[in-house]
Amino acid sequence: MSGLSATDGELVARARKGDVDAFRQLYERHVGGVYALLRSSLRDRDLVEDIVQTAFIRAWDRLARLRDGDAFKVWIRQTARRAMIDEIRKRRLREADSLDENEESGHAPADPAAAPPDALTRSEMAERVRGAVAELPAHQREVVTLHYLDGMEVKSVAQVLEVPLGTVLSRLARARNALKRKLGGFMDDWTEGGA
Amino acid sequence: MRCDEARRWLDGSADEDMAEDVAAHVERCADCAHHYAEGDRLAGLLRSVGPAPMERDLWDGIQGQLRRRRSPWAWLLAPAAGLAAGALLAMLLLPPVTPSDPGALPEPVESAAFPAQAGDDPSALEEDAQVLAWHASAAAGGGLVDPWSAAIAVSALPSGEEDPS
Ligand SMILES: [Zn+2]
Repeated sequence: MSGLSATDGELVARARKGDVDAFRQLYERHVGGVYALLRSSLRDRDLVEDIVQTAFIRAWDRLARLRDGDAFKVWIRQTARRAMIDEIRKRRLREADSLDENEESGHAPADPAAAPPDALTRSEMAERVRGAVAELPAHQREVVTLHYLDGMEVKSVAQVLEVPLGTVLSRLARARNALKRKLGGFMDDWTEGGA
Repeated sequence: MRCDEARRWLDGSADEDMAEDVAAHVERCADCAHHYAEGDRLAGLLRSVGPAPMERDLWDGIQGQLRRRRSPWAWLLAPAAGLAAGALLAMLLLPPVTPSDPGALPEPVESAAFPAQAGDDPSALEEDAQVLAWHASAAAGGGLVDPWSAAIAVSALPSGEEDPS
């Protein structure tokens, strides 16, 4: 199967003709990023999973309207975020607000810098870093998730969030300052070996 | 703005007033864009962590819905399409979109998006038709459905910024 190395644009072209397998490959390629983006705003895992499904079904229905198939990466995240906003309005959720107020206790670590990195497994380290991100305000969580955790360029982040590039840069700058404070020496120690 | 000013901002200063200037500089200056993309130790740490893994594969649920649709165009053939023929035509007349064109991206689709009961979904085709009918009636003021005015109204709908219900 040469399909595994197909570009998003090629897969979109096949999916437009009704090729479910091509669409599954798009799903597998992007579902992790979509899920992470929604989880950066919503703590209800079931709700996030519902919205992820909705987003991919909505995308399938509207593939014909995506002019540039290679833009699927941005488009599916944007579609998912819009679906989330619709749902938040409908259910009048205040998930992001409550997270901002640090009422969330599900995955926030007690102190990310408490233990030295050499005492941590890779997954423990990841949990601590994700926990520090989870403590950021909602807008900053989104940009950090998209740009750093999901690896999107800042211009693409601006497209997903439908805000100016300057807004993305300033949110990232504030998030970076906060994360440097939270992760402090933990960050230095951990990255010395790899850098 | 000079490169050293832009980089000082990108590396830590978060003065909101300068964000647009920095953005404009980064758009023009490949060196600073590269500098930013390369990142630093914090960026390296965050990238090495990546997003939290999903706990459940959602493909089966998605595929089940796709089967009911068969192809992106299956809904055109559904009997329910007759409910909103004008709106369906309007959808066809809509220009294709790109993510950089947020105003023309998929508008909120309320009832089709979140079935009331996960185990007993109403027909997705019927839902789509209902949503299209809603758009059409909104465009025509609840009266005559005119494909052109429907197309204009649908493409002009806010991008999830308002709840039309
Ligand atoms: Zn420069």
